[in-house]
Amino acid sequence: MDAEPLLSVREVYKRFGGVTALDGVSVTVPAGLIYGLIGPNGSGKTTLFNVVTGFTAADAGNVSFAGQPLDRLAPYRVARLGLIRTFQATLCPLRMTVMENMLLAPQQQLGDSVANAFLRAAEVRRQEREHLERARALLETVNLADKADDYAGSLSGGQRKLLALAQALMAGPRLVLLDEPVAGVNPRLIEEIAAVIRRLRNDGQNFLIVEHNMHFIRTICDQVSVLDAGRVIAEGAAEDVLAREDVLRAYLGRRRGGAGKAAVR
Amino acid sequence: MTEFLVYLITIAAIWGILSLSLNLQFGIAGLVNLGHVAFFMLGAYTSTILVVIAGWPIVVGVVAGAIAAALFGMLLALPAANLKEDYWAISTLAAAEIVRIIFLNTRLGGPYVGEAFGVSGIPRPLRDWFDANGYSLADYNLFYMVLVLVVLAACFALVRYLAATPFGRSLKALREGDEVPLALGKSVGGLRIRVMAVGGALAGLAGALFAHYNAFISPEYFLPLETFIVWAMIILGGPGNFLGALVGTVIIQALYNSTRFIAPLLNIDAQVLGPLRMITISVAIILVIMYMPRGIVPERRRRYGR
Repeated sequence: MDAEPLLSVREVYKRFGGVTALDGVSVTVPAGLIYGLIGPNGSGKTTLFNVVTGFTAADAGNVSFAGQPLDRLAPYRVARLGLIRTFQATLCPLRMTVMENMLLAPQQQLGDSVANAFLRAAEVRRQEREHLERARALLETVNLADKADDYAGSLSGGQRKLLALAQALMAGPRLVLLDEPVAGVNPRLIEEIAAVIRRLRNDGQNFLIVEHNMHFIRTICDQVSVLDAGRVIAEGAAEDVLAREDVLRAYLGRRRGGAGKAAVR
Repeated sequence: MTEFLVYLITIAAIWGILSLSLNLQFGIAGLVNLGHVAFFMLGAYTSTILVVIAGWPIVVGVVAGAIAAALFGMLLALPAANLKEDYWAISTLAAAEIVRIIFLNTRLGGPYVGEAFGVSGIPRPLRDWFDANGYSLADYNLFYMVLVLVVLAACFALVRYLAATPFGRSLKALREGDEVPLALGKSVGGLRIRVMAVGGALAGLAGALFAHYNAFISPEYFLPLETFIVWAMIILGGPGNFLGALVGTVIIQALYNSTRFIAPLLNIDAQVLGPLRMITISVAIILVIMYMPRGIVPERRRRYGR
């Protein structure tokens, strides 16, 4: 194992009014694997994502990425360090085409500067062609190649999830944070997404995934942490953790509401 | 009639630059700028002050007008860059009124110059040369029309080019929310500051061209209504499409200026004319929103093909 974890979350607290969303959460994500973050609704998974990526400021605790502290960095600065996230409600700009969405993602685009757009037009165009090639290859991977010129708004929910994944990968991140990549996606497409993620992992891409679909988590994650009411209640190898009864009880009990609780008892 | 057409085209071209600039800010970047007239006013006043009062060459005045408006755009965007849409709208509206009220209360040079009196006697470029060589005022106006059209064409090329660059693409992502651009490493505040500067410069340029065309400016030319006229042009023409912005400009300016010909034909009282213009424009906007919600010339999809 590497001495230096890829992502390290230490004793993070976050309260919203009277609600404690994160109650001293510590998670260590090593490099080279798919790490899952699971837990019932409201257990603080998305809040943790937001804290890590700079969208929400923690009340206490710290986060570091490859040894570099992320605390109080603006979201776009976190992204520039190589942590790219997706959103639970897929937010890709819908009035832009799939290809335009993809081309948004590459980091350090020369043409993002107004001056370069005029003074270094040839270089900007060359870079643009390279990005176009890479975007086409990635869209091929997620089976969206024939949708390249369609508006993102015309895609199905599942296809938007795929687009968000491809867009995140297009940024060339060291760690991709996926917030519910298969929620609301049809089962056949889930298999495809799982296959894509696994293949990328084998090529050395790191993932941190929040997901509710237990089957998906079980088939794809190498390690998991389980959150419940803002605390980590279990962590370790996926199959061990998911076999633990307290984990299932915390999970299923809340997921299914009153009837579910009765069923578990 | 020719004279009127030359006037109409000149005015439409100047307002065309204004609507191209607002279209870059709103149609592409989604910024609800309700203070657009402030940039126009700053361009007009900066050039006027430098040329009439400080005695600088007209070209310098016009360029300085564009720069002053660009700087004002940046200044305005600095504190407001991270505001949400509606707050952004209100702060731009307020900023425009601040600019107008400052000029309304500032004496420029001698008595009866500046304040509510405005500034008159603004020189028109190359006018002396045209006079010296025996050209008529009509000839000169034709020249100015061509000049403004050339500037408009250059601005059109500029905004079209910018919108197609990666910078323009990032701006386009902004109009559907900050989250995705932020998560992809875009400095959302920086993008807004830059688009306010570029758009501001164009509007300032339009203002300077207006001042040197009209030869007289006063604060009452720059009421908030002027901003909404430009908005009407964009909504009518098709937000996000620069050609649409120009089409909207021509339609609104034609409606606005042709009512004076229609009035005598229909035997309408002159007092009714002003409100009638606004009613015509309003009805046009309502019809377009109802039947062509994306404008007369809708935004076009950028295709990358194979």
